[in-house]
Amino acid sequence: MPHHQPFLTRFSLASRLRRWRKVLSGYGLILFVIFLALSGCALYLLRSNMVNASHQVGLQLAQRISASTIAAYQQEKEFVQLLSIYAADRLTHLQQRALPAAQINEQLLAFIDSAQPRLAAAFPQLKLTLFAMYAGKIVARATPQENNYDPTKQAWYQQALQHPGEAVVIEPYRDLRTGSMVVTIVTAKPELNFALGCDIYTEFSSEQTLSSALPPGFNAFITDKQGNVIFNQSAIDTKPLTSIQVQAYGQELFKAIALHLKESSHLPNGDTKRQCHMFALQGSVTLGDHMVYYCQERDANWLTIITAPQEELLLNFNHVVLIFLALILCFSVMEGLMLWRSWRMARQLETNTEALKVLANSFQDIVRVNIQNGTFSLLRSRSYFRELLGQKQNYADFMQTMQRIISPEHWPAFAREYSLQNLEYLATHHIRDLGHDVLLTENSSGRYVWFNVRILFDESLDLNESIISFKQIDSEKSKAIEEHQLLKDALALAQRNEKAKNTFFANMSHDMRTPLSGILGLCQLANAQSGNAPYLMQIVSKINLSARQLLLLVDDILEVSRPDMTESLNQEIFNLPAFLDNNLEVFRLMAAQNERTFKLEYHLTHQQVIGDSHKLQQILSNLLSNAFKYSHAGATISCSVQEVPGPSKACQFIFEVSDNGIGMQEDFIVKLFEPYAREQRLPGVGGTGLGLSIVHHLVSLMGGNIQVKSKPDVGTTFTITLPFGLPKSTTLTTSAASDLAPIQVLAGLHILLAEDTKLNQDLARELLEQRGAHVQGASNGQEALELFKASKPYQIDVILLDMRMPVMDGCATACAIRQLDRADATEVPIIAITANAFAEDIAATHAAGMDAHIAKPLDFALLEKTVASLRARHHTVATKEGEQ
Amino acid sequence: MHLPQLAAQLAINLPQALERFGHNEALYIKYLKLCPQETTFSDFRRAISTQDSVALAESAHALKGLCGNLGQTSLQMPLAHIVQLQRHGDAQGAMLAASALQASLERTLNLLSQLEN
Repeated sequence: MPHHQPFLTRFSLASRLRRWRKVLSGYGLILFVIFLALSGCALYLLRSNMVNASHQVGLQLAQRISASTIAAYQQEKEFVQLLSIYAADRLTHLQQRALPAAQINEQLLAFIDSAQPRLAAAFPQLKLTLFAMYAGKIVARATPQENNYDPTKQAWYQQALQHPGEAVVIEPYRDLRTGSMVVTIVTAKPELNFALGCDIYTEFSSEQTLSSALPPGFNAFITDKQGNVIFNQSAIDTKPLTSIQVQAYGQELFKAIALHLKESSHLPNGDTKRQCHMFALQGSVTLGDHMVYYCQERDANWLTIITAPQEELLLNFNHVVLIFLALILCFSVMEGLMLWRSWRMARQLETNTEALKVLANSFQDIVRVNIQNGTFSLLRSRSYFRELLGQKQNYADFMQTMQRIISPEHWPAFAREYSLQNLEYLATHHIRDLGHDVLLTENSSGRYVWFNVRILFDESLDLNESIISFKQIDSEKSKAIEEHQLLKDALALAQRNEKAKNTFFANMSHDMRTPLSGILGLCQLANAQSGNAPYLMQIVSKINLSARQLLLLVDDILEVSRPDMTESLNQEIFNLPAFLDNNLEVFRLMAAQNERTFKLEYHLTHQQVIGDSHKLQQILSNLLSNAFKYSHAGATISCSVQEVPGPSKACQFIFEVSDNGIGMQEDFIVKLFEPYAREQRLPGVGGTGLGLSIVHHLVSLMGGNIQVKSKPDVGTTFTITLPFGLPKSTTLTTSAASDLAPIQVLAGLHILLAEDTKLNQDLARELLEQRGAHVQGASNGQEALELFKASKPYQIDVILLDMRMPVMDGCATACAIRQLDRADATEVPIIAITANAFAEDIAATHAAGMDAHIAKPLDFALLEKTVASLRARHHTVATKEGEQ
Repeated sequence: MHLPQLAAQLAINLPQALERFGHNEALYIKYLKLCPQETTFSDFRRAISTQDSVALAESAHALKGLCGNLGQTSLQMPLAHIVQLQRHGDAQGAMLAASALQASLERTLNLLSQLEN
């Protein structure tokens, strides 16, 4: 995929940088702490090394100065010794010439005068004065003597006499005149009563004597064994110390060194000629805190001391530390800023993460796909999904799994849209969000559920990746589909209604025109025959009939056109038998007038009922009108009413209106109750097509049920079940057809009882057998059917069927029995015994061919009456058939 | 426990129930005592525990009839209500009503088991 590379490379680099930034900022603090620790160690080591180096410098300086001083004095000794040899030669020559002492002194003085410049030239850094001693007298230029000064008794001479002929360095002394320390080098020639010496004035020679390589801040002293400073190079804050300060400090140092020597006598020191040590001098009055480095030469009478202020030793280190601290401060500030920034970002990230968690939780599955490698990983998933995918990582396996769980009709589109090629295409074209709704199985039950599957892409993802999310939307989708379907149905219904309305108006205009035309025509005839009274009466009668037809049409239209047809029931007590007789009498007349037969029969226990008689009248009138309309001359139209006992305060009544007219096609029955529906038009038959729609509405309003059976050219039967209330005191009617006393009804009867609940069956059997019946029991409808088939015709007198039974329920059993090819199949009374007394149940039992419906709990008195009634009816029919 | 006490505890209309049994008290007691053995009760319990609405409808319907036959209107009415809820598609409501009725059912069976001849 070379054409994608630059796009992907740019993102991969940015994302890698982002990651490193995260890592570094995350470990930044730790690194910083480690850096501080290491820096601290380094500084400590640096300090130690610097201090050690300084100490080494100090010690070496002391050593060097001591050594150089020794060397310098050695040179001076040698020079003085050489001069003394020359002087001794001259003196010996002078003595051999037996010159007087004064003349010899002059000669010696001249020698000194001549040697002095050479001495000065040899040692330009020193202030030297040559002198001699001859015969107990000092011979020198600038040395005034006291009268009683006897040089031979002086310590310097005595010391020189200890090493005759050798130059000896005399211990320094303080010159009383100048106050400065003087070091004398003398060579004594006792045999000549002569000594030659050189006074070195240390105060004026210090800078020359001590090396100029003394580091700034360092002070150097050379003291005698008493601590008197002979030579020094010292200063405080670059100001040289005064001689008093020098001596005071020298004494201080000397004491400190003596104490230190005492304490450190056990310390090893490799150089036996020279002992070098160091110690820290705290709280010096003169110079404060100092490091003291000193060297004691075994062969010399002095002590070389170097002092260095402790603050000077670490001055550079302090500078380094200051710089380092400044750097640390900068780093700390930067680190602090970074931490604060990290904290803010972490807080933001936490907020975003929580929000993202909430968002992620709304998805059941989230899959991350690596388009480049063709792999996938599950970021979140249901356990069912995870089990299906197992450890697979290949995207091809993922698609295979999806094929198993996605519904077949959605798979082709899914396979196409969620392929790697398409994912790549979407990423390349920056299409960030694309998705569809698919049906897939949610769990192992295999039930399909709606999911919204989306492909999500964003530049924040790495390395050519996409996210596929799965969100269950079953309830919303189902609702949407339902709403869509409702809208579709509503549209279809509206279209049908519109079409039917148009048809209605087309028909209506014709139907209304017919009686109107008839009326107009008859009026014209009446006009023409105004003198013919009998004929006029006929015309008036016909006009009346047409007007009535027109009125019926208008009434139907008005009934339907009311905003929402009346929804209220007028509950009143009325006498049902009287109602039936009075309101249906007109149809008896119509039948007589139209060569038809009308039958009315009713089997009622209660006369007074509570209900809406007007609506009942509308229902029956509509049904009977249709029966008349859609039947030919000679047809029989019957209306029967049967009461189904129920709870004490209500009863169900089955109204059956049947005819043997033209019947209806099965496909029309489906839309029979739709407004304006009319199947076929018989010549001269008018109507709005609204009657059955009105009937259906009224039956529903009254809490009833309506069913229809019809066959073309056979006839139609409408069965309506309506509940009516019963007033507190009701008049019971007895069926005129009952001839037998109830208590003996069941005696001797063979009863087939089907009841699946064993206790109910046993109870019913026992109570029936108590009343003299012979009972065969069955636990389901199939058993009952088999028992009936196995019986002889008319052997079984009554069948009692429970409605809800396993294997075959009551209605199916009744249907099966009625369809058997045997004489008693259609005649044997079948009574439904059931706890269900709803209208639709009663209608269902009636439709199944059952003759009666008795609700549980079983009222045996009612059962007996019902059985008696049914058997009497059968007896009556059989008798009539026999008579015929 | 004797029949009148049981009738009082379970709100049974004793005269009405005995009329159905032809005023045969012994027969009535016999079937009352057989009641706890009827498997329909355990079917009802099982339907509640497994949340099986179909089984609940079947067992409630059967129990309704049984309780009606034996005059146990205090159970018959709630069972009728459960059947009605099922018919109206309210399976959840029926299950809740059944669960609420279970305690009364168990109490009834317990009292029936204490019935003496």
